Amino acid sequence: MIRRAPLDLVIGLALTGAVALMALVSVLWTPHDPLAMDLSARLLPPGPRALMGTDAYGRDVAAMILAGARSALGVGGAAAGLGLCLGVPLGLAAAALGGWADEAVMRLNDLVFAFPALLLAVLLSALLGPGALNAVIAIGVFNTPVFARISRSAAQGLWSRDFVAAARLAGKDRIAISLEHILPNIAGGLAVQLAIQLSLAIAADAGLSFVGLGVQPPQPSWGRMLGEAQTLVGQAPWLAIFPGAAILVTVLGLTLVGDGLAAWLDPRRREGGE
Amino acid sequence: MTALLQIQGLTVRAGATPLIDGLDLTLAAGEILALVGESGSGKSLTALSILRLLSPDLAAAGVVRFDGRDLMTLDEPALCALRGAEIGMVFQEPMTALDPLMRIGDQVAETIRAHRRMPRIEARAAAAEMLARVGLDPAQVSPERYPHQLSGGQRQRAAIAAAVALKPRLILADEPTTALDAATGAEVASLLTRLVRAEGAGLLFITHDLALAARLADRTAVMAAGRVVETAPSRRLLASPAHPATQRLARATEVVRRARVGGATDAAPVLQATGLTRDYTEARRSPFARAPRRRAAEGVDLTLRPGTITALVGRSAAGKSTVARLLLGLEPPDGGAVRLAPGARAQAVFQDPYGSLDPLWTVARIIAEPATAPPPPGAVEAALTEVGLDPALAGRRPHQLSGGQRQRVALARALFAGPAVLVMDEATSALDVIARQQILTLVGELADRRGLAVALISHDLAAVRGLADEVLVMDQGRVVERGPPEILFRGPQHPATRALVAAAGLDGDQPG
Repeated sequence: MIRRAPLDLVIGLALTGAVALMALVSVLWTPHDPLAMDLSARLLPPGPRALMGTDAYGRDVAAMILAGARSALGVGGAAAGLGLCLGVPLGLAAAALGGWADEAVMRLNDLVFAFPALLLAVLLSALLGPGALNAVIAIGVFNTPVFARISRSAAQGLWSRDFVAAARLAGKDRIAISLEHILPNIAGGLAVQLAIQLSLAIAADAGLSFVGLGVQPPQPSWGRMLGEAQTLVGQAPWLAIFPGAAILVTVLGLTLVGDGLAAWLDPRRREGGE
Repeated sequence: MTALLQIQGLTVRAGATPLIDGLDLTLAAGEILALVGESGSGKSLTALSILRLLSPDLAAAGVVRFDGRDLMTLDEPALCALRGAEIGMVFQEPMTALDPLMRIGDQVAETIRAHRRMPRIEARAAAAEMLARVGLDPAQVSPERYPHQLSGGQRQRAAIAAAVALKPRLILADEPTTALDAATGAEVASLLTRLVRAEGAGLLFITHDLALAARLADRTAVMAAGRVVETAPSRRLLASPAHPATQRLARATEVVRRARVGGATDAAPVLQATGLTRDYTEARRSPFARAPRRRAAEGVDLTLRPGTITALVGRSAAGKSTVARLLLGLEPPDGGAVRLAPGARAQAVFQDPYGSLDPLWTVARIIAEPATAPPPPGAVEAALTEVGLDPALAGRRPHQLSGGQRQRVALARALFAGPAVLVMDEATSALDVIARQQILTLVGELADRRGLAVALISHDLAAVRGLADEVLVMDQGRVVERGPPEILFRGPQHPATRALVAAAGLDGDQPG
């Protein structure tokens, strides 16, 4: 049955959809070549010549914002996805096995949790060398314990339910039960967390790029655009405003999706039952 | 007597669907009125409408006159002054009706202070006194305890103390004994009626059990499809029900009986348990203390034979469900062993109709889960028919089913792989009397027809007497008495058995 989606979910999906559309459009078309420098058109304010102005090298800001959406979603999505793919199996295994395996997974989680995540991501990127792939690995590693912890606690609640006991009586092993009963039942909560982790990953990627450890030039990136705008912000405020707004809209949109999804999937609001 | 509560033409609608459809009901001051009906007949909604506590997507109309005032026209502050002070409410599930983070004494004191200006200390003293009156003696059960430190019956007593603390003139009790075992439920019901009589208050007692209504209430009103269809003095209603809905409820109070044709007590056992012992580790009391262990089962011997029903009875926490889990192999025993005949499988139906089916699966997929290979076409439909369900339900999901339907689906799943042993762990205690009777009758037939060996765990001693070949009475983890039901219930030896028999009202000489 269809229930009306909450307003924050609708707004969040619209904002996120707009960013995703920007990323898609940028593959085919940008107002100018985002990489093309034109020293004769340096630091132009927003106007008919360049919709969002140009930067110190005469590159079109609007084109860079569009192209930057691709790397923001790409790096953020890959990092959050990496966290999901590592964390959920760990959490499911911890809940299914219990005992020592559970302790080991959770203490490992605590260890990763204990480090200041962004700082360590900086360290990791510095060690492995800057670049998109290493940013994905660094951010993904710190997303893993979040997913592990959430899936473990949701799964633990389900393991004590009678339908799991019935599945055991039906002769199913822990892996089959985890895949057929536990995972589908925690998928809603994971989707919510994925939206929130995606927004955090995009913000983290912007942070890494800001200090030069993310996507490498000449590939445009919102974080690096902000970093490069630092010294010019008094003279050319549009250089900071537009990438800042792009990051804000993306993170806000995904956070709203997460919150709205949580409200929408809330079992207390489920139809039917008694 | 003047009417304390008068309901005229009450309707409650969800969208266009009427859930209560022109209900009329009168309750005199000091009267105990039972409101009886099957699940979904609108009993609970009626109670919530009186207090104006319906969820906002339900629209109520009609007249609810309490002591001359029409409650449907009162504003929220006036209703708040009324709730708790003049109309008290006791709910079915005491664990959810009490705040888990608040001491029970404080919960009762809170109700008092919400309506009466009173220093905290005085309210506490009044609360302690009230708790003593409901049988929670401060010397044994401190008002400082939290709800989770109480048993189900004690929690319901605490909830009653909060409901009765301000001497309301009307008390609404919505199935207050359904979540409790039979012995505790009987104690709680008699406590409630005693308190109400002592205070001269009116009581609207909601239940699905016509026999319980006959024991407790002056008059009984029967509800069906959102309306009161019959009202009469309680005993007369049970003896000569006129309306079909009342007749159905009256039939449901009849004890389930079984032909007992296949119960060959000399057949080779399919399951043999010897010396089953199980300890649970409890939470440590301090970080350095050793975690205390509680013995949930000790030295339990049990033999299940084809075509026989073996009942396990006892109070809550006597170890019955622990034994069930050990028999099923869901937990390893700390001592003793369970031997299942080669090739035999054990299946189970559990207590909670809401937790026993995966909410995302369809009925067809749930039922076929124990099958090792994809079931042949029509097998699921046949399984549904066998447990008395419409094969068209195969495509539904659990939230679209009633509690009774869910337990039938769970039963169909348990039977699907052709088990030799069926464990029914309180499988009918969350159901209304009609669904309960139908499922128990079915289980009796299965034992007779299919030669199933059944372990029946139940609080319902009357049903056990009608169905079981052998009864095991458990108390504090041990089997304290065993034997055929006729002999055991006629001459109970152990105090635990005697308490159960007395609470179930089986010590009389009425034929079972």
